[in-house]
Amino acid sequence: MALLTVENLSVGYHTRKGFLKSVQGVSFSLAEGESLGLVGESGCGKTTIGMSLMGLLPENAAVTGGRILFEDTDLLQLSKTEIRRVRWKKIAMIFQAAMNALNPVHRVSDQIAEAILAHHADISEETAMKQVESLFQVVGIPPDRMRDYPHQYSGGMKQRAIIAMALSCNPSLIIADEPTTALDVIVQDQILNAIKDFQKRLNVSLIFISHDIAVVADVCDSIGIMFAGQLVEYGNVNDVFDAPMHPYTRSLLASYLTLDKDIVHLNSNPGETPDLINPTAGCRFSERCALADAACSLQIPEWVEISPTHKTLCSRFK
Amino acid sequence: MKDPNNVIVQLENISKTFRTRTSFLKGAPKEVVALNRVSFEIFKGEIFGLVGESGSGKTTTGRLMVKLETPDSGKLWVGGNDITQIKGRTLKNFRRKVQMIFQDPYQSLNPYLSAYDSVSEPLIVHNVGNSETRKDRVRQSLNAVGLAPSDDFFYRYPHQMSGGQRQRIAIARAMVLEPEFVVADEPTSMLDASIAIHIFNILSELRKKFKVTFLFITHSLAAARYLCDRIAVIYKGEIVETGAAEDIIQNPQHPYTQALIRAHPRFRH
Repeated sequence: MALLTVENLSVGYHTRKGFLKSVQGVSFSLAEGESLGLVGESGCGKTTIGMSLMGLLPENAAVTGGRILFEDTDLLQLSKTEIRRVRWKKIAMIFQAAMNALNPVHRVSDQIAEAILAHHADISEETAMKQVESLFQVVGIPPDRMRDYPHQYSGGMKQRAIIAMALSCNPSLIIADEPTTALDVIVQDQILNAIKDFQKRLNVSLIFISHDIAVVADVCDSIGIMFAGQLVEYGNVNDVFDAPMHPYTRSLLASYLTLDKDIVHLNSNPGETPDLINPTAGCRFSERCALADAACSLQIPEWVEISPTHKTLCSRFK
Repeated sequence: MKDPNNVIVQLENISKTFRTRTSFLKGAPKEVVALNRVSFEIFKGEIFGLVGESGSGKTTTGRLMVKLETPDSGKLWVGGNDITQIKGRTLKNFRRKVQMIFQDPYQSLNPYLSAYDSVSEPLIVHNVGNSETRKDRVRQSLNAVGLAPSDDFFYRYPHQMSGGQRQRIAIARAMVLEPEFVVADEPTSMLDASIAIHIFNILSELRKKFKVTFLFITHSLAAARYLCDRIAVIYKGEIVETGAAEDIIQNPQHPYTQALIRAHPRFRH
């Protein structure tokens, strides 16, 4: 049974220029222990999806349709008090540049113990500290650094501490929003290994949000490619990377700079991001797409199933 | 200096140390060695990549070359002249020939200036041409970075443009004086991958068209490999390896370069 099912989710923001349709009809599901990567450029709606799952959308946002079923409860129907019981305890999030989230005047171990105590009235301080110790072992911080202050940590260690904090209430789903974007490559590699490790070891479900397709390919079982608020390709990681179908996925892969393949000159004039206040009724990628014809921007695109574990929101790719 | 006909920039044993400000509570000032005896040269017309992680000293190196910083010791030649100690009129003349493109186009452009004003400002500062010829040069510069028809962009302000367009305005502004040498400091790290490639291709075109030399500063070996002829890898203020781009990727000698290549994300298949 799926732990999480997102059905037809649409979210927008009220702005001075009008209502910005940030996420449009997105559906996906996640089994227990599965990891899903959401990939796309900035502004494609991937963080908005994460924030919807956490019930942390800003004031000017509005969910205009869809359901978020988590353990058979629609999170969108919950009151603010009810969602607070789910947030952090069952669904936790690792934010972008989260290393700035640690309080500089408290010891790192105390901060994480505090998070545990805040959610579990019945736990003693000593037990909480014991839990912190084992969490630090999971994320790879040596025990003798537990009682340090945040400024004594490197960027990578701070990010590890933040991951420990996200794991502290034993959630069944973790949302990681660009957890390594602010880090150098070598540290990024270490953090990604730590994430893969705890994910397998604790069998926790993971939604990994990133602009970097290779990072997602490394960490996740399945992948959703997003463009301008629409999910355009979705499936098993190997299926999608072996045979990318959507023209946008193909262009993303083609413009990825690698160290192992031969260097090719990449032609790119990517065009501008589509207007999300007055988006076209049809495929939002149609303006940039080489395969598009007049119908693409008018007709609402339909999902085409390539295999039971791979589908794409385009019928022109053949 | 070595062969002045081919070398445009040469650094010889450049060192730079920053001191933290003293305060009553913090006690004695701390010293941070940003660069330690850095030497390399850049040939005329090439795109030279300087690759390193944050805090490695790569930006300090770039800022030294355009005289936004002064080295503590060592010598720096640009275009055959020792620029280590220049000031006044010589410095102003020097600034005409070297330019810099900064990391963040959201911060490097003045929000109150239209694209035309931003790009024409260097011409006015250096007293080049009259209002008519300036307009032509702004047009050429905007066309060269792919903002066409250029007149459509004249009266746009930074907030009316996308990140990629803003960075292209910043490049047009750097190119309008037809400099000999341009430092591009992580010009695409704030931009999406497809737009980054577009910017790289524009820099490549500019090099061909204007015979300009670029120093490209980046944290990404893959980006340096795509754009550069030669690469220097900098680690903790020291150059650990220099060579032809492809040689460094295929046959890295220094353990740090090897670690960088190992850690680079790659597809499993």
